[in-house]
Amino acid sequence: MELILKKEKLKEFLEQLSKNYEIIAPVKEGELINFKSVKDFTKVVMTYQKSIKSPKEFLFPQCEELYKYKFSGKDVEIKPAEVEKKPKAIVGIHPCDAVAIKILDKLFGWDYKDELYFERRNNTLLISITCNTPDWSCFCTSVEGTPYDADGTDIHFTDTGETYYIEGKSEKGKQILQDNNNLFTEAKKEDKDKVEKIKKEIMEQVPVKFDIKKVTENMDCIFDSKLWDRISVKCIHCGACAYLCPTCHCFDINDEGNYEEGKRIRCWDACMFGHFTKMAGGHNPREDEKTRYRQRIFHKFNYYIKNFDTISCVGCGRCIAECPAGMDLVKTLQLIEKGAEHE
Amino acid sequence: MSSLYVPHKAIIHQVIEESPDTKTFRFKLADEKLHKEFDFKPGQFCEFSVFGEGESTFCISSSPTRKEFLDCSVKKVGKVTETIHKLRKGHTIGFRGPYGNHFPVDELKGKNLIFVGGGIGLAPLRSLIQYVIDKREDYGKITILYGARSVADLCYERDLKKWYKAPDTDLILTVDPGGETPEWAGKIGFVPTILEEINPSKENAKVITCGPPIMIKFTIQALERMGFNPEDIITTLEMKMKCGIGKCGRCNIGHIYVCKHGPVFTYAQIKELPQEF
Repeated sequence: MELILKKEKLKEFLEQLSKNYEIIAPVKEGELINFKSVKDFTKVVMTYQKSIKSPKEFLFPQCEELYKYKFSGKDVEIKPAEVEKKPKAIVGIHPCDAVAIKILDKLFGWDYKDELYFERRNNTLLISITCNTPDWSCFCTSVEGTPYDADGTDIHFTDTGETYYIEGKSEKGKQILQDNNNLFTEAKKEDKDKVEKIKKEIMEQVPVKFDIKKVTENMDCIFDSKLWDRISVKCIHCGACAYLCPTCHCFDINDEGNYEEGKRIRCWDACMFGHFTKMAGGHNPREDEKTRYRQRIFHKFNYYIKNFDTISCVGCGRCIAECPAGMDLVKTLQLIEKGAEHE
Repeated sequence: MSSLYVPHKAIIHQVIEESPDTKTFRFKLADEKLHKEFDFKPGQFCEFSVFGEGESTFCISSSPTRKEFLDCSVKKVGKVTETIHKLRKGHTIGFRGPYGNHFPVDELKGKNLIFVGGGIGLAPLRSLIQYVIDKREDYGKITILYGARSVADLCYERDLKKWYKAPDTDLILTVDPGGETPEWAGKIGFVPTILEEINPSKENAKVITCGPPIMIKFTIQALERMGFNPEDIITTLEMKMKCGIGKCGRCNIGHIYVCKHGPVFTYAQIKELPQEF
């Protein structure tokens, strides 16, 4: 199902959609693009260059309550957290961030199904858009992605200049387009041709930077390499890479409150932090930046494959663009691609 | 609605002082039906909560063959364990579990079992020892070597007395040099040294060991000298855990998650892991 939406009709489409969904979309805040819950749809910026954070937090919030507890005498009342009921539509998600959700699904569904995640996940519509403004740090094409192929979303947009070229992908997505067919016109062959041309042009803007097959093959023999000492030395353990990463999922569980009442919360955590693996007795198996950075790279390009048959990186480039110390994942992977003998 | 991370309420029934820094908390799930239906295998662990302080990971140190109560033995080492030590009879705690794999109780059938424990490392072994004693006819000869820094640091005094009298069971106790008292009738020496001294037969035997990392390291070296195969040496690994269910991302050693693939591993499996634990 391929349709055309005139750009001036986007607002109307989102208004229709908002009858059933809370709209989460990219908006401009100062110089940054952020995904926000939007009510004024004129503020939505569909064509943008990389949001500072991925919309991961709408499925897996940075901090969320697991339950509340309250004592009366010796007995305690436990009230499990409820997920917000209204369905959400994440509009304007780039293909890299959309693919990241599929990667997160595997972890959160690993034997124990994480209900909080999946209740939101199953209640969220994904409307993706071809990323036609990649920047210098993007490398989706190096990790088996493209700027236009958003596998697993419900509806996909491509900005063709004056209009949006729209593909209904899931049954749910197709139905929504059907229900609003007064807003669309049928796409013609020339529209399709134009989209193909756009795809080709943006592929050229995101050149392949390394051979991911070679990288993953080399991982198993590089664990003890001296490489890690050298490339991790700049790291200042701020965790920005993990907090901005659309596939990072590590979290901590803590209590907020006192011995009478409070709540148990889980908050994002990062393998780059020293306390992450520090045990109560003081022993820390990953006590320096070398072991922690190695864990980060191995988790994404080795361990995740072994457990879930996919790498855990979508090439969004945020960890490179935003690292205050100039750590560069692409450079690390290029070194690994060359193999340990080049250390 | 979340239930994965929501603990069951449990009531402390008894607090047993094991040593100057270790207590056993004996508890029951508050929901009687749930407690009756609750099942686990020796070696599995749980998340133990003090509301307002947080959760900690402990092995269940009692056996599923003794279902009246569940036991967790807790050594005071940090913030949460310090609060746990203040718990008294009647207090309500939170309990999630059981998690992780378990000792291969079926594979061990018919084998001679050699238990080598140090300090609070006897906790997971205790679950299995109680289990095999309760199913005594299924297992071969039992040898238990248990050591601690000093006589006061030996845990589970009540159990040790029972094990001493158990059929076809040898119990050898030892304390580190300097840790003995004038009345001490057991061995004096480090666990790996005493292990080589008593030299149990490797024929049809499996060793199950747990203790401080340094003790496990030298115990394994001793066992290898004695000719034991890495496949026949079983231990449990410890890493920092939070969720207990393979999501929070911190207890991995290589791609192995101690909370999901472990905590029980053979030495043959451990040798394959990256040396990062």
